[in-house]
Amino acid sequence: MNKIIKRDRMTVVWAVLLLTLTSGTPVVRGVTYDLVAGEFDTLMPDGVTVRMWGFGLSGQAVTVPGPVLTVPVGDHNLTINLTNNLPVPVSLVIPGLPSALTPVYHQAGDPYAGRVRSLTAEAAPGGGQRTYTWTDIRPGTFVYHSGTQMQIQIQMGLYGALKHDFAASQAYADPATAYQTDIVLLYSEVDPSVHAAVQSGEYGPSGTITSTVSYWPSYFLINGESYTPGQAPIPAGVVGQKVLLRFLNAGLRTHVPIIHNHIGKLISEDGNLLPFFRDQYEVMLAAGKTSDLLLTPAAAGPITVYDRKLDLTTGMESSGGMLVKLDVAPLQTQPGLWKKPIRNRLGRV
Amino acid sequence: MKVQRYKNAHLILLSVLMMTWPVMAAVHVQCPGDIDGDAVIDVPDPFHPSNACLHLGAGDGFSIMADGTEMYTFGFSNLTGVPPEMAMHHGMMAAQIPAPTIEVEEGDEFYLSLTNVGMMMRPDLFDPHTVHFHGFPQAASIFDGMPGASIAINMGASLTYYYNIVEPGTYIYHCHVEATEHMQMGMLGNLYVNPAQNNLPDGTDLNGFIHHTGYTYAYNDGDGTSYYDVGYPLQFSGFDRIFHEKHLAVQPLPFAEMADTYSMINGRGYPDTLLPADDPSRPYQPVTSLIEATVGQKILLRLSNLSTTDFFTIRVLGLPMRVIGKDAKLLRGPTGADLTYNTSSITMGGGETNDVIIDTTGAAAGTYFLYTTNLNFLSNDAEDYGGIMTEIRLN
Amino acid sequence: MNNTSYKTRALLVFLTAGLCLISGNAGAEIPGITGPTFNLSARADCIYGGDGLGILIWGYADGDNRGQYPGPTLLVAEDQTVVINLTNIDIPEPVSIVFPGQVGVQATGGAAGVITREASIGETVTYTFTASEPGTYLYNSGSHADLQVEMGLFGAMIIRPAMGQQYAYNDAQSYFDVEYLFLMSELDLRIHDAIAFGQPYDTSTFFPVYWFLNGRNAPDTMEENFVPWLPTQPYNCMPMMMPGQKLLCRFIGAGRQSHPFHTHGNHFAIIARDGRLMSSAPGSGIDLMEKAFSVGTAPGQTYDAIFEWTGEKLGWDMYGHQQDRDEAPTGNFPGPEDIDHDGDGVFDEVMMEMHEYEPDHGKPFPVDLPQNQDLTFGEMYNGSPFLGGEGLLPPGQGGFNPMGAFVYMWHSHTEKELTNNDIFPGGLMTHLMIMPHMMP
Ligand SMILES: [Cu+2]
Ligand SMILES: [Cu+2]
Repeated sequence: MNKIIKRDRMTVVWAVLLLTLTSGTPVVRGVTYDLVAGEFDTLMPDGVTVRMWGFGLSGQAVTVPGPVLTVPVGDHNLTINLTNNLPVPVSLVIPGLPSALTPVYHQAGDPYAGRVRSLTAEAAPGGGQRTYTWTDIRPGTFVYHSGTQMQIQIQMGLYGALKHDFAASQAYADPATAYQTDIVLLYSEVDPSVHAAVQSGEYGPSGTITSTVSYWPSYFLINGESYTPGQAPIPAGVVGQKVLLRFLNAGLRTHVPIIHNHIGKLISEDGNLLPFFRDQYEVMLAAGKTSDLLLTPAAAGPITVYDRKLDLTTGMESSGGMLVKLDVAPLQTQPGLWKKPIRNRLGRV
Repeated sequence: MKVQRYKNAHLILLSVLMMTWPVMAAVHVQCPGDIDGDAVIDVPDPFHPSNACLHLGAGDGFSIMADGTEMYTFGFSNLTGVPPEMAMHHGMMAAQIPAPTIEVEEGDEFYLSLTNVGMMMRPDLFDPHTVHFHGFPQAASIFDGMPGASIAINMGASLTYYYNIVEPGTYIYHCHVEATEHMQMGMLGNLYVNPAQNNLPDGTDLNGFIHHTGYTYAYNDGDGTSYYDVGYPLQFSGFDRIFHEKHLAVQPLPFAEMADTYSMINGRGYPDTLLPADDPSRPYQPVTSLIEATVGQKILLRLSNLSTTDFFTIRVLGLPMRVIGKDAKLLRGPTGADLTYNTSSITMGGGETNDVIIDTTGAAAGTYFLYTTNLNFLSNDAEDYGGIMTEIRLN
Repeated sequence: MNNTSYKTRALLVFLTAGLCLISGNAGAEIPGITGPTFNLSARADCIYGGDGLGILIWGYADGDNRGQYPGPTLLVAEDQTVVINLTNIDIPEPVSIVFPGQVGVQATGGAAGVITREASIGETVTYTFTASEPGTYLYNSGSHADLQVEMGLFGAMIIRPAMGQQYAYNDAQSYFDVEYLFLMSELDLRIHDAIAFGQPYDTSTFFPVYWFLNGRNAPDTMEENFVPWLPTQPYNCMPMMMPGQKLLCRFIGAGRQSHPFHTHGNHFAIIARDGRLMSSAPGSGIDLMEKAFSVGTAPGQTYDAIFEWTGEKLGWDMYGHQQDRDEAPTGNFPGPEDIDHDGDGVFDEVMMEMHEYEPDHGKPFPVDLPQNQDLTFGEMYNGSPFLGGEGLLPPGQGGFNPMGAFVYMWHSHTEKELTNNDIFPGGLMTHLMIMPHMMP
């Protein structure tokens, strides 16, 4: 059902584009995504089931993080049609992209009357829809996330990555930001006690947890997963070629990814090209921040990226958490082998 | 705690002392050109053509948190203009959170007199106080306010600090006596120095940027980089409710367990951050954090963190942030490299300051938000929807 | 500061510190062990918190010596081939070392771990790399690091540049007169107790109660290096300099928390991060240098900064030089070159000190200080506001700074970290002493 709606919409979009292209008038190009917010249960590697809220493309499963959204090269406008299947209002913001906001405040009679609930317009609970648009999108790596009761909804999982390149295989206007492979590494945390309280309706003014002031995450995720030994590495291109690591932090705490045995070039912050690139082996990835790091592996084999904040646990178990392996292919390998679609841990290509 | 036992043992002795105290009291403001001792210059002193004076009281008081909880505090009050014989009376139970904002000009000789008015709610305490001008360049120990290496003022007396103000920028100040305790209790304030570039003749060409009378800058940038139309100091801090409660109850202070539960901007949590300046409902938290500007203006945010427990990452949503200064220095390399940068969030530890300019050119009128991305701090202790958040309203 | 033991120890510290400076060897270099081959072991041992509590740690050691907190500072010269043999003596799980900032480290021996090869008890693992980039680095365990770094398996490594011992990097602007290490770490006592008693622990609820500089809590940071009563915490952190000197700070975030390190007294210039010069391109010098009065050192990061201080533009003569002929001298002891023309005991011309700011020379002290009974005196205040001066203090007050140094607290500005397991003062804190120039 959703799928059909989506296909229809896309057809309309392309038809409009085609029309403008053929008619020779100035082209307003743009990309449209249909996102759904919903809930699901996930099984952590230590056997604990946690209720999550996530985004998914219409017709597909909702996931944490949500799908990586791409604004294609040459497009500068983004439209997101959000359908909210959660029991609470949800909205969508993209920090770093200038945009007008239409905040929603708690109404009189509400315990939080007069305080902002959503930083911009909401999609109503239970299937409500809302369309969000951004224009003149600049190149960069961004987090999109809910702008409603962020202290709860973001830790519940309502976030994902958005990327927009300046040119094909070039992140920013500076030619030095060209790359062969890019990898999204989105960091986040889960405090299961908050998730349980939200699930049972015990979070709120009269519940067992009334605010987020006490925050003790015990699951530390990259692209939605806590590391497990033996986990398949992420293909990272061929030795000697440039890899763009897109670091995003949707967690509430700072993490410091370290590229083991390597030095990279930090080229951006929050989707802004840095005035001067810096050679670093770490990225100080504060809560909500994004940073792009260019890496040119000198040798084939695995590269470990681990959190120097040392959130390397899964619940009470060690050897987990925010650690990920990249795999650099040797030179003689045919590009087709590593470029072939492989399901990564986002559950997508 | 060793500190605490010491204090309790002197409870009785102190109450005796308190009775004779006013007799010993020696409020003494030093300010060239001030004749009657109220820190207001009456007849400018030709030997000090550009001096500035301030009289601060240091004592205790109460503040009201955004969830309505009353919180016992230590703090500073502004006694400038108060006759010296009235200063003790005015300063008692008048602690302001944050401390009175200090704004001085490059080139000022700044005389800051500090009077210790005592802690009314803790008569068992003999604590002296200081002012630490945090970041003051080329400081001398005697005026640094670090009690171990200099002097601190006792109850009922005054100490005058002297600062030759030569470097513009965004600083902070706080008491440095038993720093963990006095700073957690609230002895923190905004402090900034305006640059001489503000006073250039009309029409001065700053490398292509034409200065006009009334223009304001954060630094002597020489090219208008730090030009702004409206400026706001925003100081991030926090209170640990239990620490303050135990303090009032004369119980051992939980240093190891300290964890801020009220995160604030300029001494208020959201939504109190939006209340106007000097709002009567918050008599001892007079500083607003509501940012107002007209579309097209440049907003200077003088950000500082004085939390005793946490780093904060601060975001502005919907508008671009350009970081132009850090720690009272323009972001410019020694050979002129422009180190200013665009971002949408900035991370600050305790004792750090940053200058951020928001250029609202082309932005839509309306409401935008500034908040911490350490989202768990969007709370006022056990109350949701609070903490470090405020609005930027563009007309 | 009502802690009497602190005062007593501060006395010792400042007396010995002053003597060291006179003998001219203080702060000459950072203590450590010299490579390029290092035989390290990892073993359990015990350290003392600033409150005297003994705490179980796991530390790296130089060969058969005791475990250290932090591990030995590894001193290496640029372009050397560094070989580090690590033997696990008695740590009940595999241990290893990672070297952030080094590229192409080869690991042999032991067994493969998640990040690098690691050694179980009795095993030795060898790491080899070329020290190609001078700078300040961290090394720490790459095995079960959330626990092993907490337990103490970390240390500093300094790669000295070809340019010379008095340079941090191969750049003339990185020259320094004195250098000090500021390696920051924390300790959650519950985890150490759990390990000691074989109890379960949870590193995700990490909540430290001790904070360290070079493995010591204040006031121990200000004791001498290698004092016998801190056998497993050999390194102090006691910066000292004279006006006009360049003091190199090597900051390292070795623990799990970020620490906003603040220097009283003046700004410093950050010249490098992660062992890489703040430079836009080779040959353009340190053109991206930033000045700051605090550096938010995150876990795993290193920063190099140069601190200078002359006391210029204070608006008064910080040496207390007598220029007003109608009043008695207020401050510094006049030197033999100072002239008393009319023999009235007042020096009419007073020479400038080295690095003195000329326009302030002879300017009077700007305010009257309160009477003694209205003041609380710091133990490191010697009664005079002047550098190298001396004043009268009530009996038992101050006076632990006989040289008349200017003293500045350098500390984490997360002020909670100025405590030792619930006791203030302590923690991640030390003091800079600026000593007056001595007459030769
Ligand atoms: Cu400070
Ligand atoms: Cu301080």
